[in-house]
Amino acid sequence: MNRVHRFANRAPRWAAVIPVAFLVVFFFYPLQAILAESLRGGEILSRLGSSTTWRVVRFTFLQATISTVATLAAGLPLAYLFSHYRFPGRRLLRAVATVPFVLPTVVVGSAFLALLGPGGWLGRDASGSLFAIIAAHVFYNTAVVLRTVGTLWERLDPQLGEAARALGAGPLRRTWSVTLPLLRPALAAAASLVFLFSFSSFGVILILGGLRYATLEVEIYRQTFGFLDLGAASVLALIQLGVVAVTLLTYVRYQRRTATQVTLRSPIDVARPPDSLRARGMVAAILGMAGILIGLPLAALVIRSFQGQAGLSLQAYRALDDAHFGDLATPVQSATNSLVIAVVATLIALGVGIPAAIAVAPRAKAAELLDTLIMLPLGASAVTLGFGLLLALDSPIDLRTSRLLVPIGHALVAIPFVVRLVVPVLRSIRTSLREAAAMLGASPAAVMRKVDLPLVGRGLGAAAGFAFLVSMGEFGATLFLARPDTPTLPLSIARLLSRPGAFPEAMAMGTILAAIAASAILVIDRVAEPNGPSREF
Amino acid sequence: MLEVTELSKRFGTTLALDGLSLAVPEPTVLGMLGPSGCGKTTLLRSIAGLELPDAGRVAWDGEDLAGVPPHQRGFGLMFQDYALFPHRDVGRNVAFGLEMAGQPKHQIQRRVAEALELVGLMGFDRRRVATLSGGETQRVALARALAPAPRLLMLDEPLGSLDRNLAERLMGELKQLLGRVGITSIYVTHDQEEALAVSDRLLVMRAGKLAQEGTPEEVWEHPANAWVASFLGLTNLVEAAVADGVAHTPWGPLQLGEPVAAGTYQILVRPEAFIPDQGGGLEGTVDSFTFRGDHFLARITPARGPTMQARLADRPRPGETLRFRVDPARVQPLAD
Repeated sequence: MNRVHRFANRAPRWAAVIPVAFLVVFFFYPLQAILAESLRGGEILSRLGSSTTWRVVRFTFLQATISTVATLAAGLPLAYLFSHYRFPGRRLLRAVATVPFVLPTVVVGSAFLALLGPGGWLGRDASGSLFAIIAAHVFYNTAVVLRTVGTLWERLDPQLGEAARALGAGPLRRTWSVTLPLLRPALAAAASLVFLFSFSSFGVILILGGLRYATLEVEIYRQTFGFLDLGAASVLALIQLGVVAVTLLTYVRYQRRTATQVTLRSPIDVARPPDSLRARGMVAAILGMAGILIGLPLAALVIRSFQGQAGLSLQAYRALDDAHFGDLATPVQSATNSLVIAVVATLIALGVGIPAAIAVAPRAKAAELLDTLIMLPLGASAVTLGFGLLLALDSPIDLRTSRLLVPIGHALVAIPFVVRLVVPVLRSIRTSLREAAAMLGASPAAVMRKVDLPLVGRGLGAAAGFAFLVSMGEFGATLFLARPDTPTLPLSIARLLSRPGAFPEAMAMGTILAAIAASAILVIDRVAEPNGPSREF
Repeated sequence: MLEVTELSKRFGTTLALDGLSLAVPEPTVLGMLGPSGCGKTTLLRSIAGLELPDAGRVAWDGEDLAGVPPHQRGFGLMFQDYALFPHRDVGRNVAFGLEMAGQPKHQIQRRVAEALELVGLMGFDRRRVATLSGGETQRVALARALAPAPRLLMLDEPLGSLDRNLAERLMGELKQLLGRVGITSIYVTHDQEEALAVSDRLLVMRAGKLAQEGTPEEVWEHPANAWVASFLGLTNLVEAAVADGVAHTPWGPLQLGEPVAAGTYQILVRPEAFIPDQGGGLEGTVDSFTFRGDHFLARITPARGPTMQARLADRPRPGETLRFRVDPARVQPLAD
């Protein structure tokens, strides 16, 4: 009798076929190729016994752990600030604080090179140090803490703290035995994610790590292209996948708990203006710290892009059009490549992601399984994805020289985002919304125009924007898949950084890419649902 | 005036509407009470034009609405899940019907403000729908349905998804508001208290048919049959042979207030019929009781016959044995 209900429970079977087929060919088949390669000729045994392998694994763990702790230390005050205090520019600042997370890793690396590298603002060269790597990871991941913990924090019932106060608990005690336990699911989720991202970090470490520091990801790249040792790279990729799987499982477990355990209230009226002198001082201090953490690297990137030999100039930007720097493509050409690739990747990601979202939207058991399946590529690092595609796609048909390979790799990374953005939109369109519109006098055409299109359109717009953004900034997979004569923007930036004398040009391209990414995410954020996936990760 | 004639609708093997007829004079609040699955929602949706009946006629002021699509019927419907548009803020939700009617901007603004004031949500225009509480969502849905001034307003379980306390508070407000607006409305609910509180006239529905129609007082005082009585929460029902104005119930012979022809009846003994009296002929033990503000409702196990509910003025003690006399005026023979 209830039509809404019937509609919501029906999972169109055809919709699941496309994403599953895509994943089998471009994800599971390459994974299998990695496994096969690592098992060949006892490679796995000799590699697992080698001290080099364990040194790399140890360093990867070490830097990821320090990065996680440091990011939490930097992110929690900021999360507290945005969830508890209302002040002018709060909305904008919160949006700005999340920008680093969507910046391409190459841009992050460049910004820190501008700040800490040779001739940088620090005064001495700190690139190639653990400090530079950690700082970049904190810069990049603070937004994760801000969004995961902050959104929970601002919805915690303040009465719980007041109840504790009434029971005689002082501020320290309240934090320790009320607030922290309540936030624990979000803290654990944020920590897992930050650990995951730092563990899989590639672009940042390739640029900032110098020769001394290599994570698993960087080592996979070196073994593949430096030593042409695919067996060694495969074993490392397996280790990488194993750690990622364990971390992701932890994350998923805590995500489930967040959804069920904590009593929340609506996010209205919790934040107050800082009314005491102490509160104002604290707001100013936290904002200042965030300004240094987030603002300084970006400022260094932008300003150094304008620093020519003779003071400030647009020289670096002018050179982008014709300078080859010994490369096969000018920066402008690689930007064009990037745009074309991003458009194709977006189309593929939507073509696979929309059917996937349609299949996942009804809340059923089978849909849940498919959902997990679709999220898997997000867990596998970009380098692993690129490496797997490279290994696998020579037979039965050789796709390795195809122009589609790079967009496909990008789409693999973008599809989970598309699904996460479109699913809530599909779920929000109930039959009763259309009927309600009809009862208010809307003709069928008006229902389409006023209800269906705005609802679906916003989600699709945001999804397309995100896919485009992912593709524009993708570095790890692209490095494995792009042909030398058609580099993308991030690839060109990385090459320019390694060429003496091309530093301002690299900074100029980094600035352009950062501007594209930042404006895209600000637009997407306004367009998408405020409680949509870009807020929940 | 709305007229529904011989309306039938079948879903698979279930007959949701079984030749149902009714007329709603204006302006009145028609309560429609029935258990879930009795066809209430199907009836509303058929009147709204969202469901196509298999047979029968829906007419407004004599005009058959068969070929008229929902958006041209001029009816309002407040959905059970409220169905607020998530992509529009509160003000633009309320404005939707007015925009569809092509009203000028300034007028829409004024009407939206009026509608929000009516439901007690002044200044909520810019609020996002997702940030509203349950009660606020309900009010916005009501304001949205009222704003275009529909000639008939239908409310499908409007308090169904709210918690009990809130529902009870809003019940009174809703009744007052519908009276103030002076609009013809159909109020569908499965909750007897809500139906009795809100309706001017009350229909009780059972399996696609009308079980009873009348004012709330009439229905409450004289349930048409045992099914209606038990749906209203009146549980002292027993089958008994009646002769010479006396019902021979398992509890013993009970005098009836009004004379009926001899035969077998369902006898309803209202809780207030039992009057504690040392000299009474009915004896029973108090099992348990609940305090109801101005009285106590006790479960009594009598010496013979099924347990019964009695309305007591004084606090009883569990286990206590009481004697009652039975007020003949509150003992009613029912059909079926």
